[in-house]
Amino acid sequence: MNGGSQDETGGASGWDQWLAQFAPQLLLFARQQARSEADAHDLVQDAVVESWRRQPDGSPPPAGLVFAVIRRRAIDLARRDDRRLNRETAAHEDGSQAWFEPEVENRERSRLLQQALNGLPEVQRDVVTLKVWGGLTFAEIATVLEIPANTAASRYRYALEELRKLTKEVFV
Amino acid sequence: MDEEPERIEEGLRQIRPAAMPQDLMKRLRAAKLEMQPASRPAPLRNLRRANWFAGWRGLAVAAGPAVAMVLLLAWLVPRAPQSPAKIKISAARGIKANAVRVGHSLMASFDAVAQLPGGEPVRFHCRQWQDDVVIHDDAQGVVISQSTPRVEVVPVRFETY
Repeated sequence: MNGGSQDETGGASGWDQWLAQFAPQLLLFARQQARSEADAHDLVQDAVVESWRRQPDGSPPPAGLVFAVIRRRAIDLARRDDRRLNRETAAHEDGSQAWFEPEVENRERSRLLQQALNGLPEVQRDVVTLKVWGGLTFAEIATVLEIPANTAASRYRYALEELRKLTKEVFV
Repeated sequence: MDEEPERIEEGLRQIRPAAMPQDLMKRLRAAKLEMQPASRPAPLRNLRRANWFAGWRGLAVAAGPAVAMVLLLAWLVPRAPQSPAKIKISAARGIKANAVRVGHSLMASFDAVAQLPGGEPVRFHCRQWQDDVVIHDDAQGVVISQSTPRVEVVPVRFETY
């Protein structure tokens, strides 16, 4: 899987590099899974710690593993809080947090993109996030989401088509 | 039209996820510090192997102070005369002992503490004995006595001391 290359030793510098490379993507995914910003932070921390503990040699974990743990923990959290029925709307409830870097030249595009992603069905949004920003292959996405790889690929195509319609003015 | 998905994909990639909040980064770094290799659970197979090695390594490390202690005590204990019994017995051919007395005298008892390289203390319970054997042959008016110093060194676990 992507991330946690073999030469990384898990030392302070390797760990920092790993965080710099993957943490924003993990948080983006967690924000889409969680009901609140605080929950998203907890999900990232719990998933990173759990995934790191599973590494026998102490090296940073593969990003795909951390995404998978985030998703599983988010489902557990929703079940525990009896919020499963509300999970589809979870991402909408705390809309104050920007999912994307609000760079001046892309600020409007970022806002529209976040809006467009929110408009996607959750199953499609997950695939897009993992593919585009997580950098995972369809096979890895299939493992994370526990779906066939073909399903992941088709959901991605549908999602891009939907995004094309929703963000016509963004990506011209 | 076929290039449309790639174009959208490329456009999406240009927008980067928001940076990590500083407090979350601090939390992750703190979590990492708490999960140093020593505190991480090792896989069972590695753990068994590690225990096996640790057992032997501990024994080897503990042997060092024990040997040093024995050498120290051997140096402290006064040396017995060179084979006195052998000389006397060879000279006293035909001795018929009518009384033999065997005795053990505790000359000293003390504890010594050594420290393993890892800082773990090891306690040794040391006792210095003197074994006495006295043979009487009243018919010939011969008394043969032999005194042998003996040292007992018993390692004691610190917790059970």
